[in-house]
Amino acid sequence: MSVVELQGVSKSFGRDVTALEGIELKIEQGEFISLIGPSGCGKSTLLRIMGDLVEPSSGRVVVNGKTARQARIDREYGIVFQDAVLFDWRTVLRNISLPLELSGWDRRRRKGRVREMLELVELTGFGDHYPWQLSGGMQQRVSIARALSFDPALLLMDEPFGALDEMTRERLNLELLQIWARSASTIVFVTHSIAEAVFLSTRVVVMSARPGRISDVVSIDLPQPRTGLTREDPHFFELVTEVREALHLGSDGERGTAQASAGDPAV
Amino acid sequence: MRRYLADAAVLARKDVLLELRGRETLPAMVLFVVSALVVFHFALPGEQSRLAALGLLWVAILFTALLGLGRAFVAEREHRLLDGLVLAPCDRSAIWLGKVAATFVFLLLAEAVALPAFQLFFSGIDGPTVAAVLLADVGICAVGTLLAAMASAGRARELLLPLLFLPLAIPIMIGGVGAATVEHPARYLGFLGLYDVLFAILAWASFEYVVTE
Repeated sequence: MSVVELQGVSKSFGRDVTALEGIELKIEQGEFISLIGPSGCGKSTLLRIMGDLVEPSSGRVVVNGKTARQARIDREYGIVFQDAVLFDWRTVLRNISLPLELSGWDRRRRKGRVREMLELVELTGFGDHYPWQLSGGMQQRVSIARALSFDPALLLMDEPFGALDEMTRERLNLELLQIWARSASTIVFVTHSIAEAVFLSTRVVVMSARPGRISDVVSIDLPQPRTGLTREDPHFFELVTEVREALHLGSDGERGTAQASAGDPAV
Repeated sequence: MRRYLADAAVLARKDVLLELRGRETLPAMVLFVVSALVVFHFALPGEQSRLAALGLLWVAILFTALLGLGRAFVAEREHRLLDGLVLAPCDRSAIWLGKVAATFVFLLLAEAVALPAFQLFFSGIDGPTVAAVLLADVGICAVGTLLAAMASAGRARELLLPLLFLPLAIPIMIGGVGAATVEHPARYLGFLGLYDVLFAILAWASFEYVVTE
């Protein structure tokens, strides 16, 4: 069974802005999918549609066999945003345990699960710290731990490392892959970085802008587990080039269409 | 249904707890309504009519409510938690109901100070006026919470909320002033009740659309 299934999904804002058009995508259990495309191509909107934060104008969204709305209510997915969005007045421990508190887990069970999560994101010993005592990267790891705490089938990540410096970003990429391998969840990841998308993913979904469409899907066959050396593999560069060309083809196609429309005397 | 009400209660409790810890909204509402009544007391001539004073009471209540409504989504907006709130594993209308309940409590507490203050500065408050105030509170909170959610997503939110809210609050003013001033207020109280039911259903049904568009 697919974890996410999008059939003919479109999204318009008002009459004039078509953000997404005819999106067809199936994401299988255990996949790591990156959505990449130029600014304004609707990749975040697509992620938000999967997360029931935005209602599609048309089409069908199925998450773990349920509607996006039911999946939200049943906590089938966790979301990580670009900002860690932690509660300043709660310790790391209590930030991670918040979804469990809301789900009615008892204190003992919560404590055990939070300990597991802290180990997963390698923050053991930081449970009693407050968010403002942590670096940006550590805060984002807390946010990931919180999103994974209730063991969701799907993790949606909207440019989670976009605000971090390159070194921290590369380190967190490696850590995210380790977390993904250990948690066995399915991840949908929005990014602007081609290298990041290729390094992390099993498939890269390339989107074109205005209206946002899936222009290509590139399978990433780099061996697992990936390490720092993966970035130096010639095949990694080949895949980066392939995704870059797919991106250019997508945007050139759009430009070509726009130019053809502009040059068409009938228009 | 039980689960739905429990979700709304949890969300309302969160806002009440935040207020108890932060003490930002309620003191401002109380201070505002009392200050407004003091200003009105000195603004009206010595032999002011009871009718004019009651009209001013409703103006004070409406603007005090506006103050509370303006802060209904501040905690979520300031901490960029609106998405988190909308992702809560419950029916989205429960978020609206929770916010309505919390704002209703704050408004009720502000009025618990305002009505005695009105008695002190102007004249006595009768039963129909209290009933009208309670009915008006329901309508104010029901409509106002929906509009506050709409405004919180916009840029000019401080301007947007009064511009959207005040025209919709005119029937509340008419019903409230009417119930407080006529001899047989049942018709006006019925009107306020009808307004509450109608707008509560509309706001309840459209809240999800407002927060996901």
